[in-house]
Amino acid sequence: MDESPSTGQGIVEEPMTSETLLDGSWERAHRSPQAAAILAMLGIGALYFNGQSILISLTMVFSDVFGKLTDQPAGFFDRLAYYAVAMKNPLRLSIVISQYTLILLPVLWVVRRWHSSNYRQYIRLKNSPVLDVALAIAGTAFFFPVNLSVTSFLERAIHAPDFLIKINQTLFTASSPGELFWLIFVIALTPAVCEEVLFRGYVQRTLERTIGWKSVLVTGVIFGLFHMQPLGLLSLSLMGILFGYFYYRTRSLVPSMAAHCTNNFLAILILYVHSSGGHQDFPLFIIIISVIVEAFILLLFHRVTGVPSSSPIVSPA
Amino acid sequence: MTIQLTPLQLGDIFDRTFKVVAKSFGRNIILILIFLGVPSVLLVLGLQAFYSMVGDAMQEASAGGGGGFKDLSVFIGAMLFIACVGVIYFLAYLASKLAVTSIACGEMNDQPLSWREALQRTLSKRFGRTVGQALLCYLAVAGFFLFPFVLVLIGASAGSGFLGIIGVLAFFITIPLAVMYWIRWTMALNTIAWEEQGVLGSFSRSEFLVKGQWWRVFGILLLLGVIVQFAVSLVSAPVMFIAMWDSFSEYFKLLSTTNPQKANPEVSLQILSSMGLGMGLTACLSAILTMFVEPVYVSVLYFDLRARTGEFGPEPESGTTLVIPDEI
Repeated sequence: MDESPSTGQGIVEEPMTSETLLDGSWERAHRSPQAAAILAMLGIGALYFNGQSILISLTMVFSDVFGKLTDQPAGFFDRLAYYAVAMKNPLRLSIVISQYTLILLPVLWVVRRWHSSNYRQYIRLKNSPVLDVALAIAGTAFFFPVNLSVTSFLERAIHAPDFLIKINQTLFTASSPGELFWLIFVIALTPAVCEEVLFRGYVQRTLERTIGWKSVLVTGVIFGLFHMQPLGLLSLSLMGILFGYFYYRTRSLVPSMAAHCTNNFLAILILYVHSSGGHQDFPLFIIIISVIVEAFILLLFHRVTGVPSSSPIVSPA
Repeated sequence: MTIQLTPLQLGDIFDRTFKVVAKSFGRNIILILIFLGVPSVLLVLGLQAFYSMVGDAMQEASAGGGGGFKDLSVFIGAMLFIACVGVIYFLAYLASKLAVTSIACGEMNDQPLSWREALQRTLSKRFGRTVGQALLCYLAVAGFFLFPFVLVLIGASAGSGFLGIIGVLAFFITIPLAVMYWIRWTMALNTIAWEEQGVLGSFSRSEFLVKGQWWRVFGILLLLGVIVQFAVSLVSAPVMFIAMWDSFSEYFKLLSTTNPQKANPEVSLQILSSMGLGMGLTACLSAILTMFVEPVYVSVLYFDLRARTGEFGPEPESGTTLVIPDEI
């Protein structure tokens, strides 16, 4: 396998500075990289969702049996709201544990075992210019109002009741500055690291070797589907494409991680500030301004990252 | 042509499956559309009409408009229609599976078939054998559960808790037995599609191939099954949500306007009336998506098992196919 990732994709490559040795078992057997990407993604996805469900169920049973869940309300929805509040910390802990153990560790294992012993280089976990990272953060921040408004519009279109939205938001709303920091770790930092390593660092990187820039679109849509949120499918897919674009242009995982973290951080911050819950909205003029600024930032980002640094991929001797 | 194939490693099975799925995608779409297109539409429409009718009748009954179905013949007619559509769908599903299996076996055997050839092979005596094999297989597996079921029935009617418990225990013991035979007969369809085995011959041939490799076949089928079903659920979940948008919308509207603590029968009736479309679409989409992959990985496994029994001769490198022209 000696194709360079950006050849023929309209991007001029920098002189090669390092090499990614494909010495893993999958590569040695000359199997399809696409098959590896799809198989690993689906396998890890199935492991994550099933594992997380088991973990959360165990946590809930444990809390219910040994916890202090007394005086539970009678109504189904009241009980649901009660559970959401009472179990928010065990649930958050379950999210952290499952993200690191059922996403990050398996991905790194797959990369090392199947593809390259130099896994950091394979997933492009390397420094990126500060300007690239800053533009990725700004690009995500200005995309946020559009993203939120699309989801909010769909929630209204389907008449999602406020009390159901509030139950969901309980998990992600901090009631104190200390809890806000914990939530930033759980909701912003952890998925930014684990999900970016899976989707951009592994899946997009591996697909890129055969389908080039189209991997950005494919991985973006897969990212949207993976969240299993029908109402958020459109905005999550767009966001996935945006993160993928940052990764593709910079050839580094850091900007997409920073962008992912920014998006989730803003979501937590909005809930923290707007603690009454319900539909989250931005005025139309803010959305229009955001779109204009976003276009400008993306244009600038495209120019700044015009000559991405890349490393060739070489087969083992 | 004769091929030479060595036993495949797990990674080779995944790799081959991916390559065969990609290579035969266009032909499989045509075949699946030919066989499953119209039956799928019929099934979706039939389910929608049926659920809508049941929901309307129950709504009428709850509103005090009488005893639900004013005309029993309408209900029986709807049930018969659903049963007929179900049988047609089942036959079409088997035909589609046979066609995709033929294509996959052709790819594995380095004898690629066009969709027309696969269609011809399907619309032959092989189809009758496939139906016979499937019916026997389902009946046999269902038959395993007959004994515990009868025990539970007798226990319930005689008021004997002991017999009931024995029946439930027998039920749980029967599950591994059914799984064991199900796996043994997994390759039966492939032997009909590619070796022209008869109905009974396909069972014994499949058992022969799986013998000594049962755990391996079980593990690979389980692993690939979980992965494929996960992939299918990723796609079908949003489709189901969009198809049931009106139901969800009505449901949420009712939840917003009424007291959520009070049970409201109108909510469930509303959902019931409009869930046929969502259910039908999801079931058909899941079946179609699975059809692209499942027969392929079973076929890859079938060739692997044949290689393990030494049918293809020795091979220098694992997972490599060599083509030896007939004239040599």
